[in-house]
Amino acid sequence: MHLFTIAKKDVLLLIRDRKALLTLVGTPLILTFILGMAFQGMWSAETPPARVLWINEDEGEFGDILFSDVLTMEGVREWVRLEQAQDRQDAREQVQRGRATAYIEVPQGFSQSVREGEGRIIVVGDPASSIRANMIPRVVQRFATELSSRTIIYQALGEHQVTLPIEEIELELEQVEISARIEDGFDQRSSEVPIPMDYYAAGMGVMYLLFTVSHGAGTFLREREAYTLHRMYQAPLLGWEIGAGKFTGIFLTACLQLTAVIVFSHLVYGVAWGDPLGVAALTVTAAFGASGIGLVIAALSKTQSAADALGTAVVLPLAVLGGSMMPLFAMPPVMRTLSKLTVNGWALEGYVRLMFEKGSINDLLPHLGVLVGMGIGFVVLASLLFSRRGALS
Amino acid sequence: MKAFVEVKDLGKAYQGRAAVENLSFTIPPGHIFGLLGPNGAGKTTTISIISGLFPPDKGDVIVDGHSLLTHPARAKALMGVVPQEIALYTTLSARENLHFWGRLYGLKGDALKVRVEQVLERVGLSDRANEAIKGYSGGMKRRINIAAGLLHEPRLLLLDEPTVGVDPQSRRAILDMIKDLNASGMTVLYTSHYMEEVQELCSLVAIMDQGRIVAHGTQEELHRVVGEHDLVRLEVDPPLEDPSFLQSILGVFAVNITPEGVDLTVSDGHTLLATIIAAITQQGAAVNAVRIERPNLETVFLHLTGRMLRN
Repeated sequence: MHLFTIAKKDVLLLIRDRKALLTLVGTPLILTFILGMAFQGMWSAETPPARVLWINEDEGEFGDILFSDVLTMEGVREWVRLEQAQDRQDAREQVQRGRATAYIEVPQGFSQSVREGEGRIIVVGDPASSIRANMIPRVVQRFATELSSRTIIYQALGEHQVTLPIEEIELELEQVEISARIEDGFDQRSSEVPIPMDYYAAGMGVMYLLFTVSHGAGTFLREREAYTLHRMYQAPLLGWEIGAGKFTGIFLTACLQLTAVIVFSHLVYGVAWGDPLGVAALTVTAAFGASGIGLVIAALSKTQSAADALGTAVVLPLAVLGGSMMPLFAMPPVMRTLSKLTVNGWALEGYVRLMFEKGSINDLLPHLGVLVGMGIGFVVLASLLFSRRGALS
Repeated sequence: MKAFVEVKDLGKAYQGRAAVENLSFTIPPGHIFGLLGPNGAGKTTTISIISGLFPPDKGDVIVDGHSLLTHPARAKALMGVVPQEIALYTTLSARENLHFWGRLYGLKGDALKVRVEQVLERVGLSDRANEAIKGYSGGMKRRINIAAGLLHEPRLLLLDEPTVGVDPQSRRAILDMIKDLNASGMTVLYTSHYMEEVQELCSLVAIMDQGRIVAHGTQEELHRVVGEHDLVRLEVDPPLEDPSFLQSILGVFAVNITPEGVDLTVSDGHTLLATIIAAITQQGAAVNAVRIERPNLETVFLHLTGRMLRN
């Protein structure tokens, strides 16, 4: 198959181009290190205060303790800005729209329920589970656990009329059920707080995947300018073989670039990428989808310098929109929706799922399908553009 | 003799302007066919169509019975193409380049390796074959550019201005190589605006100007177009602004201004020389040098178009 001959040559050309190789593989690793280190603090305790809405319908003291003491104690108050909600439905909607990080509801009769050995607090979180939002259910959960322990102790003390040493009191744990009910995104899916180094390894890897396919588009135009593309058309090949060969070349270089970033970041920074099968499948489909973008850039450009300029103009907004610069889960809902229109957004979300949610290849099926679909769509678009203008003009 | 290449009524226009028009000629097997014409005459467009780079607006090219329009792959497989540009990957070595182009022409395995070594030997670059092309001189790049067109042992070799920008030594080597290839039975289509090269190499010549063939045939046949005419070349100081007065001299057929002075196609140079010099002197100019040449392809072109090839 001539298309593999052409693709193999393109990979060889990239390997010989040390400057390009350093840019496409070295730079994302350097940026990963810089951004990972720079945002280490910001992603932990020093995040700006999160707006948390609350409703306390409890007539007893425990509801008050949660909002007046627990959520305002040192170490918590720095990152929580409590705001009493007027309406339960409105509070939920605000969370869903991204205007509030979380909503906490202490239902009527909670204190009484606690004394009877049960009781629930409702926490509604941002479905995308921001870093800050992750901390709120933990605090509430801890509060609920504390209440459970104390209730058990008080019940035990009451039963024994405080005559026995505390270590001899038999605690009947199964009789007590006090917990925080966690809704939407505040479940175990988000139980691991993302590590900036890991996130940016994926973010930069995916961003430079776009630069790699943009570079691939440039090589297409460079072939035209150096007349090697003309020479290919003078060989006994079919037109589609040349186009497919160039696409395969871009695809293989994209796969190699992303694989190199994954391997190096794992070995050097200890980035945990997650399920290897999922990572492999996501890398291949992300490279495929991105290669389609590269082909469209080539089809829209007349010269290599035009392709380079167009590539940069396309890559940077896509990188921002797709979450390479600012984490997807920290973006407002509208941006997260827009990121669904991007190849890199889907790829990055897939890597995040593998890294921080312990996802497997089965969890990535929608991502893989969308990336392949986008790749096919871009190839069809590029083919139409080429057929209209001609690959050589 | 049956034609190996038939070019039938080719036409190609760019943005409404004809690049080639009603172009027809045949090349018998085993000949070197020269397309001679000044820059912009349509030679590269013609060779690009014949090589299958783009289709003509009208007409067809038949190579050994295979139509380029209906069976392009079969027709292309018979051709080796050497473009005017150095169409190679400069960061790859000569050997890597040749392996790549050889594969595109269907060579593989040991056959490819053997052919790559053979063509490297033929162009005299075996000892530098592992170096990147970007380190080569212009002449060496030209030789590898030609080598890439020879890998699959084509029966027809298309060469588009293959000696542009090379040193005299490399030019000599290239011309000798083309003669050798032709001697081994290869048919060659050679385009150039260097009259001397076409004169040395080609058994058949077509003279092109402004997208058309103005004359074609053997060199003897083309010389007969001019007849027993001489080319008189004069260095004149100051240059003549309007040399048309020279055309009124009986026996002067064509006049062309050159950077040095003026060229004239005349019936008998030795007889008319005194009259011509007198006419120029009367215009207030001095003739500093005179050269009389026998008819050649330059004379033919001047005779047919009223212009020099270099113009």
